[in-house]
Amino acid sequence: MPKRDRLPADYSVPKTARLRRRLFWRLRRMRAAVDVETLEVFEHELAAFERGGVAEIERQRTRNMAAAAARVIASQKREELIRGSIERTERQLERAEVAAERLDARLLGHDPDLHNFA
Amino acid sequence: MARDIVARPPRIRSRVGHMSRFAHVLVYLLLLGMITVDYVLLSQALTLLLRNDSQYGSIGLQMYVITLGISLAVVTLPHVVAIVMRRIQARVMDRRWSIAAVLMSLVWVALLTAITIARIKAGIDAQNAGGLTGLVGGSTAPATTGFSWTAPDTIMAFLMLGVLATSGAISFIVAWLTTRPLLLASEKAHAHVDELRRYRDRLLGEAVAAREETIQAMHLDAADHARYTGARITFASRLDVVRAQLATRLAQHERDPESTSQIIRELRARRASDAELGQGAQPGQLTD
Repeated sequence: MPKRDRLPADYSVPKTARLRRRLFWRLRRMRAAVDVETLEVFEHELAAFERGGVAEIERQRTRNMAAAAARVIASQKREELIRGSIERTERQLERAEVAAERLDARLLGHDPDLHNFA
Repeated sequence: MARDIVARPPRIRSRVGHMSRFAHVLVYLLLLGMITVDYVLLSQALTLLLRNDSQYGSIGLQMYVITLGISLAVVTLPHVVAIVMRRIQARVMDRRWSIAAVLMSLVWVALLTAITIARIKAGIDAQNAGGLTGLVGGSTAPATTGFSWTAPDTIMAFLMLGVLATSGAISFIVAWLTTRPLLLASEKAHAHVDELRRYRDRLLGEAVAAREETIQAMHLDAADHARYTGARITFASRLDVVRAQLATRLAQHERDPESTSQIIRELRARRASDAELGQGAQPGQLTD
C-alpha cells in the first residue's frame, strides 16, 4: 500500500484528566469559601480549555485537508497528463495507419506516386 | 519497478523505411574513402603506364581527369547497380531496368579488365624499354620479353585489381544493406502501428488507474472529515463529563449546610437575568 493511500495520523483529542484534577483540587482546597467569583473563574478556565482543544482539533483537520487536497490535485494532474498523451497517441496512430495503408497499396501497385521510394 | 509510461513515455520511432542521417553520412564517408584509395592507386598506375609522356608533363590534366573518372566509376557503378536491383526487387522500378543494371555491371567489369591489362602492358613495356628512355646512360639494348605471370608488374596489377574490385564490392554491399526493401518498410509500418496501439491501450489503463486514485483520494478526504467530526464529539463529551462531575461535586456541597446552595442560587439568578437581558445563556454551564 503506497504512502499516499494511507489515512493520515489519527486525531489526538486533548485529555481532560489534568484539568479535572486541578479543578477538584482547587474546589477541595476552598471548600468553605466557594463563591460566585470562584465559580466564574472555573467556568472561564473550562471555556478556555474547550477553545484550546477545539483549536487543536481544527489544526489537525486543516493539516489533513491540505494533504488531501495535495493528493487530489496530484492525481488530477496525472489524469490530465494521461488525457493529453492519449490524444497525441491517437493522432500518431491515425497517421501511422495511413502510412501503413499507403505502403501496402504501393506494394500492391495501386499507388500514384510509386517512384518516390529509395 | 516498472517504467512509468506517463512521466517518461517510451520512444516510438515514427519514420518508417528511412535511414538515419548519421548512417547516411557514414555511408558517404565510406564511399569517399574508397574513391580516395582508388584514386591513389590509379594515379600511380597511370603514371607508370604513360611514363614516357608524363615525364615531360604533356598530359598532366588529362591524366588527373581520367584517374578521377575511373576511380569514381569503380566505386559508384556497383552502388547504382545495387540501388537499381533493390528497386526492382521492391517492384518500384520496372523489371526491364535489370538490363541497365546488367549493362552497368558489364561496364564495371570491362573497366577493371582494361585497367589491369593496361597495367600489365605498362610493366612489359617498361621492361622492354629498360628503364626511362630519357635518362642518360640507358644504352644497353633491351631484351624483348613477353607476358609472365610472375613478373612484379603483373603481380602488382592483380593486387591493384583486387583492391579496386574490393572497393566496388564494398560499395555494392553497403548500398544493398542500406536500401531497405519496400516489404520491410511495410512490415515496420505495421509494427509501428501495433506499437502505438499497445501504448494507447496502456495509457487507457493508466487513465482508469488515475481516476481510481482520484476517487480514492476524495474518499480519504471524506473519511478524514468523518473522523474529525468524531474527534469533535469526543472532546465535547469529555468536557461535558468534567462539567457534570464538577456540578455533582457542587451539588454535594449544596446538600450539606455550607453556603454553596446559596451561591448556586445566586448564580442561577444571575444567569436568568443575563438571559433576560438577551445575552443568551451558553450551553453547558456548570450550574445547569
